[in-house]
Amino acid sequence: MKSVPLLLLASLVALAAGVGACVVVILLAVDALG
Amino acid sequence: MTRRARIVLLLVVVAGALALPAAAWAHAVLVRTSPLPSSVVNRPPPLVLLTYSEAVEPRFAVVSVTNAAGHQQIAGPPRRSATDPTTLVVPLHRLSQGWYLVYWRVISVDGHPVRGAFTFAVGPNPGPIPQFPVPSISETAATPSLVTARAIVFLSVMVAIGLFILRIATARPVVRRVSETRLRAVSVAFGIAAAIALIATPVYVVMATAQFALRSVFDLGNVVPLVRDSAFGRGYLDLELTFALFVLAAALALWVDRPERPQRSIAELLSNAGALLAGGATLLVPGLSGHAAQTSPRGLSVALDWLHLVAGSVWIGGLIGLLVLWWSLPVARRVAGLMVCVPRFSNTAFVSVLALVGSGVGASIIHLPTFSSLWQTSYGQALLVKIGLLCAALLIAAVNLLRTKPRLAASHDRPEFGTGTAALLRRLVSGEVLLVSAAVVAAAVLSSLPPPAKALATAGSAVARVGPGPVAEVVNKNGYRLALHIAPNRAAAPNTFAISVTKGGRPLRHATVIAGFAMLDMEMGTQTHVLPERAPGLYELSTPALVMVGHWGLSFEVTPPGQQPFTVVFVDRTTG
Repeated sequence: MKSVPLLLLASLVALAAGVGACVVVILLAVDALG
Repeated sequence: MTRRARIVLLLVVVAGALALPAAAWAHAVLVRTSPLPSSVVNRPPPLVLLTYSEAVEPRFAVVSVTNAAGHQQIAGPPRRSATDPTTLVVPLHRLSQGWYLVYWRVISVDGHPVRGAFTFAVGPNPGPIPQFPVPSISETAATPSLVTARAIVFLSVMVAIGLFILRIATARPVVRRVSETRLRAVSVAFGIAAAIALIATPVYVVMATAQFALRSVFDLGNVVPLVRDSAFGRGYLDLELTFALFVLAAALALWVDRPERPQRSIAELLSNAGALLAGGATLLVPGLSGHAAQTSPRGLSVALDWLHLVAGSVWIGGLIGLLVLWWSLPVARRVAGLMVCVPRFSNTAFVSVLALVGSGVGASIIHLPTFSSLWQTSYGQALLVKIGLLCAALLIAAVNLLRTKPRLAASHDRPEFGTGTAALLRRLVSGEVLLVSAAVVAAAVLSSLPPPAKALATAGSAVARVGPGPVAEVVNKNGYRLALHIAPNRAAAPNTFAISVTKGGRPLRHATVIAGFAMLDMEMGTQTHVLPERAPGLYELSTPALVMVGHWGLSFEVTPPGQQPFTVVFVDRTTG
């Protein structure tokens, strides 16, 4: 059953994954371009 | 924008794409050495310095300095210069008088092996140059297994991201507008593509690392620890990490999504934002870890590379998604489902194609040295194949835009059009998928080939292409007849360059003839030598100037007494 708290938790995890991927890329960019 | 305006815009951009090829990456090239190639130094150098156009990995660099007897003179492994990351420093034992052959093999930042060789002498009396055994200096990353693995990585990552975008944005209203339909098959297709990408990426990086390290791919105990020693390996590990985060975010977004509701909830918006951020970040990694980040202007190169990949992903993933949708929708609702999805995808694909072609043109302007390198180099020829495949796919896309989409719309009022149009759509989209997939494979080949060096631009005015092997070529310029002879035209050996200049059958005496030697596959500047007059009208010199196997630009500047100089340029190919 998809309860509202569970949906919100899942969406926050997805958002955190997206932000995490951006952090990895920013570190790579600093290494490559910096 | 009207339909006609769209078509005109598309044709203009395609014409631009044909005029200038799509994105390319350069490789590390040798730009400077110490000692200089073919030079004679009076004091034995303690070091050999090799400066490249970009930083290379000392861990994978192989450098040898051998004397005429083939004895190794290296006193330690190559290391990166403390002051210049693009320079490799190779310590030497104390060298005695004589000639030496320097052979090097390095790995570019983009993961491609590059090799070369040159000679120098320690004087003051090094004696005649011996015939060194020239090791093979042609090596390619375009082996069938590596190209296949690379193409699988490219395709699966792009398809997964494109399928997610189709599922979450383009095809979502199908569930609401056509009763008893689901998008589960598209989500499953996304899962399959994602699984393939997650497996293929580490397999490819291990295969490539094994090739750099000259080891067997099954020697995992030694190869795996080396993966993070190259910028290429680190880049692909970052790709695996960001893509895994994308898959996690996308899976959660699909789980949260409720397509039967027109308005998205906060949870849906947040999860979609996370997945799109991760997908966008993933497609930035190849440019940052490849050559786009090494090519000036670097920010623009990386941005164009990213846009190219995003547009390609939306196109190929969306096409495959349409096929999955066609196959998975119940027969009775297939036409209705396609009537919702196809027009929306057409709009998206149109913008994607414009971005794809535009970014390809922009990257080409940055990267390619000459227009003629398109057909004169294997790299350019592979590029033409890619452009040809994309043009064929664009033709099919145009048919879909002009014929299938309007007929699908018309089938709302005339249902007898529906089934036939849906079948036509499936056939055309299948063909488009095959062509775009082939273009991605061509891109995998392309990015494994060495692109033409910028030095090639100097050879644009060549009057003839000569070699391999002894050369006897006659050309006419400014009323003069010039007969060029090169023997034996071999790398790392003394070659005799003789040019006989006549006018009206009479030898041109007392002219000044300066020969220039430019390695076209590298960026090493031009060596110049004055050719003394050995006989009336015959200017000749014996020199080991052709120090590497490959293409050389040979220029002869002839200054007749009291007249303006003129220059003839030949492109010579030498072998070892």
